[in-house]
Amino acid sequence: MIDSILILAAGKGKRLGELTRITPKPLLKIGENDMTILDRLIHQCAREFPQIPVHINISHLADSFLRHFSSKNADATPKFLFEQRALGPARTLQEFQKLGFHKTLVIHGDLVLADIEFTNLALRVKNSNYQIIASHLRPLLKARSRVNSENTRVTFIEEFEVDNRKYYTEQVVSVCSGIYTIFAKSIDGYQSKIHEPLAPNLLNYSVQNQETYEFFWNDWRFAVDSPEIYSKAKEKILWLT
Amino acid sequence: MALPPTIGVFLDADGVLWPDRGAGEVINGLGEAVSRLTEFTEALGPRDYFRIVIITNQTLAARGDVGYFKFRSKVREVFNSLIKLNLIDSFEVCYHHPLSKKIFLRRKNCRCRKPAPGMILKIIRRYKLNPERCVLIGDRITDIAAGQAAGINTKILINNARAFEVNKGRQGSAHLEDLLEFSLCENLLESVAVIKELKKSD
Repeated sequence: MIDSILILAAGKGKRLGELTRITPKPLLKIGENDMTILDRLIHQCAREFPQIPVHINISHLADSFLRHFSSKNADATPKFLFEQRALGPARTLQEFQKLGFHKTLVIHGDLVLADIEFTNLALRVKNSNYQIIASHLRPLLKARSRVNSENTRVTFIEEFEVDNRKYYTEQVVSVCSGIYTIFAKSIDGYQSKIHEPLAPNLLNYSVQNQETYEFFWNDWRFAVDSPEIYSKAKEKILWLT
Repeated sequence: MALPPTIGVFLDADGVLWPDRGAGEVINGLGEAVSRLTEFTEALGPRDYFRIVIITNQTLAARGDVGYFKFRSKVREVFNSLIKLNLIDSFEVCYHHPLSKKIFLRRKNCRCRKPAPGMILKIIRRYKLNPERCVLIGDRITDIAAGQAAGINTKILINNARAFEVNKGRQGSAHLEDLLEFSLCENLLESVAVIKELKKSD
């Protein structure tokens, strides 16, 4: 079972252009009642893991997060981790676990996840003592990474060079969903660099040191990394509500 | 039966005890501080259970913009009044500044000016407090950094539009380079709920 949840929200969201000039990506509105991507994630976490503290790391436009949470009930407010200069997900996670957390559910702050799938993932997280990498299927040509596994046990994460991808066919592969459990002991000793992402190096180091299994994300899931995907995610949520 | 260990409560002054209207507001802050601290201590519960201490950088005097001795005497008067009313136990004030006009106040690497943890560590030693059972309440990220450098587990940021501003003379501080953890509250009274969580662990 995990002892902490870390939502990564310190990035600049440059790929969304004007949309994220004054609003951090996790604070883009996604549902009714002005609900944001981040609110949705926090609600999902609170529902499935009511006793587990939720931390959000902030840096870029950090004061926007304070303004956003200023009108909320203190009970619904997570804890914050402020970085004066953004450290990058790998370093942030390592520093976070030094605060005394050992088993962390890490969620990228731009994810819009299907409720039913989040519940299924949570069930698996609650009943396991191994690491989990949530992944989904995608045509190889559109993948930047591939999760290699043997009988769902993850062996390594492969990252593709953009130039090499043209040689691949439209074969469907499994790629990271941006949501993982990572145990402190599995990355103890890892030398992270500033601005380093979690995949592939930290995740590969981690799967070598701790039993890690894939959780297949079968239903819909959006990583809001372009204005088009943001529109699609909004449509989906509005349709559901 | 042994008494439960004391909880140390460290309070910043500007923006916590009175609105942040700029440096030097302490001179006019007594009435507001009495009102906020009365409300706060009543909500906290038994007063004996807590050591409440004010820790504050007084930048106006530190920079040399006002007469130091007269200002310090006024600050002491205000905080001593709060002690007499049993609203706080003690106070620590830093009058140093790296760019002070007054040579005797000019310090480049002062150990007490927040975000350095000197004032907090002094109080922890004085009252033999356990940092893990202390709470820091401030309205600037420099307050949070000082609390974290002192090993305080529970840090509360009072929501403030200028929370992440770092004044000239504090930039580049090693204490601000850490991953700084805090809970967010709207005001001093709201922070009581967070402190009570700590009390529950007894």
